[in-house]
Amino acid sequence: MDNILEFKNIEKHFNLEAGLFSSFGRFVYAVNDVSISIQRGTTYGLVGESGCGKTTTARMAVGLYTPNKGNIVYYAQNGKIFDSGNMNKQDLNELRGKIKYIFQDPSKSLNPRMNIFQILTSGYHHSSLWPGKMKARIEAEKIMLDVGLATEDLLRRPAEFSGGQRQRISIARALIMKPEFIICDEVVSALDVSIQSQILNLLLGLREKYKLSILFIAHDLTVTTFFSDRIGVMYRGRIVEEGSALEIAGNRVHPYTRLLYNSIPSWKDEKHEEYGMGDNEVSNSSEFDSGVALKGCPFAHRCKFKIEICTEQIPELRSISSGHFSACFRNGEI
Amino acid sequence: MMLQINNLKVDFSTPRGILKAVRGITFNLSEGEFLGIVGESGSGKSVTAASIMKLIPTNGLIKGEVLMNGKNPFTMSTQELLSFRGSEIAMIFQEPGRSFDPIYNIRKTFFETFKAHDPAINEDESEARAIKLLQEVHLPHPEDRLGNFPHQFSGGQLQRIMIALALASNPKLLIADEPTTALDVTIQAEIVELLKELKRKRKLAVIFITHDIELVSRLADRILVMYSGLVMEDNKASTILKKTHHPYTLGLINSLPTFGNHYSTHKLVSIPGNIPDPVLPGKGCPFAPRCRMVKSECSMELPALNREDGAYRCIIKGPKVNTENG
Repeated sequence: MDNILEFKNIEKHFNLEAGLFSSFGRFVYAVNDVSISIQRGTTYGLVGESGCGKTTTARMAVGLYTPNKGNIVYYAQNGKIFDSGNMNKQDLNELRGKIKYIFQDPSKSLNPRMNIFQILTSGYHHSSLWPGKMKARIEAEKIMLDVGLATEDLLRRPAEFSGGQRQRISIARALIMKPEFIICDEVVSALDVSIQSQILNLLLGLREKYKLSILFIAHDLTVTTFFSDRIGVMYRGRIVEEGSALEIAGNRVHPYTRLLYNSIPSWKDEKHEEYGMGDNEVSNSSEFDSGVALKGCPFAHRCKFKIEICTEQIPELRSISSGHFSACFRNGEI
Repeated sequence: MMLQINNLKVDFSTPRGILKAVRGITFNLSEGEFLGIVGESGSGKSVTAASIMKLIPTNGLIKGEVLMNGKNPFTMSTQELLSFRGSEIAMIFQEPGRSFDPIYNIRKTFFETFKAHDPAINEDESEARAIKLLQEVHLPHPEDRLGNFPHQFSGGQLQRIMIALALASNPKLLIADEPTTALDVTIQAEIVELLKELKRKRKLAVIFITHDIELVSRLADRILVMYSGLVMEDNKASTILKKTHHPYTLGLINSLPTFGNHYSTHKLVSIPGNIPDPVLPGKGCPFAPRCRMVKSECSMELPALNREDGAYRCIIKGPKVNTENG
């Protein structure tokens, strides 16, 4: 298998107290033992509620955080291998030219004082790939047309654009260094539904054109199953179910994935006659304390199928069918 | 009819000229009715809702008439208006985290709210009423959490507290302006469930503003589709998705992916282009430049509201169907 990115048993804790007198006694356990492999040329969707560790996982891939345990390996197109456990500053710079990150809120991630050309090239300028201003200008114009904006827009500033156009600028900024891999962190969740479909179609086209591999992060199961080839469902820092998008769409095994599915207000599906949480699938204490290390199944406190073992042992991912895994003690029973 | 809105128009004067945010909206709402207002950002949904309570900045000019149980907020004095807001109509907003004062704990926030309508209230009484309201919105252990500050709650819990605050002086109408947009899908389902319960138990009328037509079709009795400050379609929620009369509504429906569809087998149909400039709206149908079914007459003059089988603003008669796979 030709993998482009591998997370190997990643763990990340954040210290709750900072500074000189911090006691290092209390942690937020953000990501707990996550292993993901992403194949070259495919899209991997990571889905889950806020606070489940999706973004932390993605940020470790670009070196914004270092994992406490485990390592992340990136296999570049030219054969070079980047291992997060064994990387110097030069390697990190090189890696950051290959992996690009698109952020959730386009109004907060573009500098309002820069014009679009400056925004597109501010990172490019400091990389070893910088071709000089004249050539960069031509490349920027080409990218602007690719994302559906005009070349004159390069001289305008972010405030002059709507939310959807700003997200296009974010995408252009990610693409200008010709990355092999992009991370889309909730790129459509701040947008209107009509703009959302424009951006998704744009990403699908660009993915084809630039032969990109994508890590797609979202909390919306419908969008994720539409856009991804493979999906990992994450809860409380662990992957609870993993499978191909079609598999997850057709056969959801883990109770948490089913909960996400039940939260979709679909009118085309007859089963969703009454929308909402009517059958009390979820208790009101849907929050969890991420400051406590996991003892049992991460979802046990919300799960209506809970049995004794669920609060005592952490379930491992077990195979349901080929390529489909679920971390539940009651796989097959419920 | 509890609420009557007749030919509501809202203009803002800006350096670029007169911005026509709402260009003539008429609708009625009866007691206990759940109305959904759908449209893209910039279509005038929020301005319509805010002007019902006269919550418009000073550069805004409101024309037309709003009658809430016979009372018109536009002709009230400031004092009357303050008691009208909250006791007749209450409003909750999109991002619950930004609607709270970070240095007030929840006890004090409730005390301030009660005091605005009942200056004689003391703190014990306020606490008892606050706990009762928080129980009604299903916040777990309200008596232990009154001393907490907004940052100690999650987004879903804050939205519940917002709803409790809105209910403080027993309004008849709750305006919810994109109350779930910033929240997770699971929390969204819980908040929606709560609104449905309140509607049932309190006979509360709700105006629910959103851009997600699928979500609102699950909740509302009636849906109003807005575009460029105008009502484009107005129909019963159960019929609007099955018998769509306006191409814009159809576009909104089609741009949502259906669960189970995959990019390899289905194409997502999006509405091309952007909403028109509200300073220069043009004289024809505002949706004409983005419409798939556009005809040459469309840009001549604004189509009138066609009142057959609900109401819709399009010169092409009858229900519209998909021309592409959607």
